[in-house]
Amino acid sequence: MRSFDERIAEINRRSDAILQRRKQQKKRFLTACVPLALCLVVCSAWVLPSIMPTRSNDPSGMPESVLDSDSQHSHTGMGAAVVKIQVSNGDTTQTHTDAATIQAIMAQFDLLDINSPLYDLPVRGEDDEIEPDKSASANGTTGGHIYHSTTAQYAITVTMEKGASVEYRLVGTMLYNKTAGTSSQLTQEQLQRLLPLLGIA
Amino acid sequence: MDNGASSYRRYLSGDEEAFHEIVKEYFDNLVFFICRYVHDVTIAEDLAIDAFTALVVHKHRYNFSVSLKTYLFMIGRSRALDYIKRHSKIRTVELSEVAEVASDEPSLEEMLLADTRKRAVNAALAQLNAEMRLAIHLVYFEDMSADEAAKVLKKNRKQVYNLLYRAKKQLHTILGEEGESIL
Repeated sequence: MRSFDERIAEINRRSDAILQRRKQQKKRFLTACVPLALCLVVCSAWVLPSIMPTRSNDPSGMPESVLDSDSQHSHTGMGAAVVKIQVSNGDTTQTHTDAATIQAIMAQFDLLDINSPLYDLPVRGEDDEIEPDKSASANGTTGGHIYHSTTAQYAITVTMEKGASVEYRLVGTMLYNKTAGTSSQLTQEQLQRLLPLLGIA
Repeated sequence: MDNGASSYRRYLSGDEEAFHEIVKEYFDNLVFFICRYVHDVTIAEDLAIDAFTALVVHKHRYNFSVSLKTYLFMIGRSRALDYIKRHSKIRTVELSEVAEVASDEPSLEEMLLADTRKRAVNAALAQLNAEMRLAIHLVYFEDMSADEAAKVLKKNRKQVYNLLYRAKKQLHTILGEEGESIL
């Protein structure tokens, strides 16, 4: 049997050894884990922004990528998905199926800001047809071409690959997106660019 | 008597002498208790030192919900069971065991069990099974309550009462009339 002093000394020696070992383990853990954690932080900072959707200033709080995709569906930007664009003035209809023309028209639509709320869209019934351009028909030029005038109204129907369609209405210099319920005032320059593409010029 | 809690509080506040008091008070009893498991006083002493070391290293594990003595015995039991698990496959005979038998010095049991009646009970305990022996040891030799013994042995109070009841019955047959007055 150990004496009292020997017991105390042994207890102190063992506890010191354990505390020392614990300190070493802690040190080893930190040495191993801190660089690993740093690597993880750097990697995540690098990789995550490309994975995570970016936030936008939109009051709805929707990520920009989602908004972009929404706007593509409701408005334009579906150049590849759009298969047909029909332009009608109620009397005559022109159909564009050429990919280059479609892409050019959609690119013009993309440039227009039609996110303001729809407020002064002329109210029409379902069966209402757009009045034919009287001046154009008076000139006897109906049929193959639609002639533009400042008061003319055109229905532009953009048909997607899967059959969905977006309906626009061009009234004078106002372009309405009936599907999205938005409208945009076109400048003369924008109008001059858009009309030839639609075949109205 | 707070069974060492106040001494341990003093030790936590930096009084080293308080720890010496705890060791003086409980070391031999703890060795005796552990000896019931390992049947070797040297190993029991070693394990008791381990238990006290745990008290020093993990200072804030003891939350004063049980007496310090109970807590120490719980650690001691745990250490003893670990030791038995580790050494169950190898049975060794320590040289110190042989030396102790040959020695003329009084053994730990002789030192702790000065009372002849307690020595008789201790001798009779060898015929009981391990659980009964431990329950009797804690209640009879260490003056623990059934609740404290239950905590040390990791049993509920009812189980400890049952063990004590059965142990008492067996001791009665072993010790005769003397066993009746025990417990």
